[in-house]
Amino acid sequence: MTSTQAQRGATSDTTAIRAVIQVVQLHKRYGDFTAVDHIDLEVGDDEIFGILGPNGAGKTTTLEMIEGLREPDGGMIEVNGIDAIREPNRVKHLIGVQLQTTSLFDHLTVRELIALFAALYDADTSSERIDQLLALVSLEEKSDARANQLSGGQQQRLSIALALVNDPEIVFLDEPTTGLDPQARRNLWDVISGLRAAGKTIVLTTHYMEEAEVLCDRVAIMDTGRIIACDTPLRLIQSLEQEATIRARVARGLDLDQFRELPGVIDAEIAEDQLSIRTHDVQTSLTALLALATEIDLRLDNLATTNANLEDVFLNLTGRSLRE
Amino acid sequence: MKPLLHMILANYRMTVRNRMALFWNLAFPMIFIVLFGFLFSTDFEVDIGIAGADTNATSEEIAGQLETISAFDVATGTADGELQALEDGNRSVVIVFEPGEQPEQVAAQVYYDESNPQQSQIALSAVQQFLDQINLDALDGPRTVTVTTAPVSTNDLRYIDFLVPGILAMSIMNSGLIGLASAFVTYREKGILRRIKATPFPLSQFIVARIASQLTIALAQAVVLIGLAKLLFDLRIDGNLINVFIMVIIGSTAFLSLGFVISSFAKNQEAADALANAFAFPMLFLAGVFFPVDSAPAWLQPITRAMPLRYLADAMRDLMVRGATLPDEWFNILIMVVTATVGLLLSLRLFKWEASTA
Ligand SMILES: Nc1ncnc2c1ncn2[C@@H]1O[C@H](COP(=O)(O)OP(=O)(O)O)[C@@H](O)[C@H]1O
Ligand SMILES: [Mg+2]
Repeated sequence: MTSTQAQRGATSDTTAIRAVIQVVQLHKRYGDFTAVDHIDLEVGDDEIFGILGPNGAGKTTTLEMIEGLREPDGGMIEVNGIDAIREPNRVKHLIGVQLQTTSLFDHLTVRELIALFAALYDADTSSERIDQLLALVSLEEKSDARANQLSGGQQQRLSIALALVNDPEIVFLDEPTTGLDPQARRNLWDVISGLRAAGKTIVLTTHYMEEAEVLCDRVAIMDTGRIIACDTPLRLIQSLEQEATIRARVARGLDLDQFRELPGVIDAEIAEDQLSIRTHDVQTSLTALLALATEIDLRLDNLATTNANLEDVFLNLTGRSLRE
Repeated sequence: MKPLLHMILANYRMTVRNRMALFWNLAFPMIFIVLFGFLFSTDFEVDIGIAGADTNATSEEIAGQLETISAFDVATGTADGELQALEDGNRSVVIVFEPGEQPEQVAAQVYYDESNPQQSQIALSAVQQFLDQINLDALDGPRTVTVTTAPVSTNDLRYIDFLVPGILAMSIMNSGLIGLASAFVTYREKGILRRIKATPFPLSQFIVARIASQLTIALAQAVVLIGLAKLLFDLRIDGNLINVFIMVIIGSTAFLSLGFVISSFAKNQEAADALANAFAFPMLFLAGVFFPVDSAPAWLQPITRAMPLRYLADAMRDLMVRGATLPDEWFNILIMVVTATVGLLLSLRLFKWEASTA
């Protein structure tokens, strides 16, 4: 983290890239437990910035401190140059917020809810504006439905619409796609990409590495309250010596060492009958593996290779898997 | 102003579309009025049979006075005929006059139906009070029986006139205590309060919006309930309705404030409902909504006096049917204002934005 961030810090000072959010040494404890441990963050203009981490990493706590919903125990937060800890109300006008869990007022329709929230910001409540917001999140057909009649994906899109009522410069989305089916998730990615195209800065949290990889311009990887890496997804992956993972189904009870000793291999493991070999040189390792298989008469079923991804980055940094 | 007005409007929408709220705020008290109105419409009409009214001037005077009291339905006849009517259940009591020891005195023998103790008891005590009054007056001078026109007891209030102000007080309490507490706890449980907190709309305005909408809903409730009772039972309204409505607002504020206290204490909606009902339920029976508590046993008196609803019910009744004015009710109003203030201060101290994550 230190070298890349120091570099970024240096460049952003000299170039025109503006940091819209700056977080320095932010920390938060719940009793004796440290949920957010002295983190530094810098979010640039017009980017989608992702915070990737497993459940309990401290993502929500971090976001909600910036949003003015939780009080930090120390550190500094600046949003558009405003001290967010001293003047949370000025910040609230600038930002749009989607919380990780909210259900909304029963008995109001989607349209009425959007109009109500627009009014709470003293923003435009005209029906043209509501139509525009509905279209932005593709909820035109549901405008007269009650919030509790919407599917999970539609509810998430509604809460994104609510985060946009004040036409904010910065939008915070806390796990916007958690619990959605793959189709709904992809739809939401389109909506979020559309927001960046409309010139908004987006800060989102996720525990899906694929989402961070596809959607985010930059990703901060968070674990146990600390930011352990922060860069573009590509550079994070490239920073690994690992190139890919080779996977295959094999007979049980094999000796692991013979795989670990193959050329190019970083590590190998077998879970039940699943062999996975991490390598920094797919071609060399794969060739050697196939030779070994012929030699010891080993059958490799469903042989496949996957390129390294953020999951591997997380594994490499923490020794644990993202999902557990 | 726009955010606040919009929030109030949204509250109206939600209330009107919330069937549960409509039931508790309107249907429930309406059912009480209609049901009790019809059930007890005759109970407080005391049918009195009089025999021997023409015994002398005194008996004639007493009989005449009895007839002027609206709660008494007086029939005159022979002793045998009236006693027969009592046996047939057509009279509550029968008074038979006979000449007394002196020419201007009468002896009154009061018969009542033992098999119908509740009704007879009411009738008997009413007549007893009336006759006592006459005897007291008679002490002033040996001859002249001056019968005062002072109301004999509250019994010339029909039950419905007694009931409706009580029901009004009850529904004010219900929508304040139960309605507000469970709404706010639900908002907190569902994270709606935090969502509001993420907007620039201040909590104080959110609460003001809620109070403003609840107060107007309480007024609408009062109009509907009074209208219904007037229409069906020709409700007696002796006071100025404007005063009644002002009292509705004062009372609502007090109970909304108690509702806030409960919503600050309760962890979830079930707890809020249970807590609110634990407050409301005893008040329903001990604060004089359905029947007078003035005549309750002495040991119960301090308990009924500790109930804020009693003061609201008393004030509503005085203002509606006893022709009282707001200054007459200063004590009841003071109790409401104190309740509101204490409640508000407590809930501002205790208020939580989020459900505590255990
Ligand atoms: N209000 C709270 N009280 C006590 N502990 C909390 C509270 N909120 C979060 N935590 C704890 O802090 C840690 C970080 O939580 P959170 O920020 O929600 O993580 P994430 O969003 O990454 O899942 C978790 O271990 C969680 O249990
Ligand atoms: Mg979270």
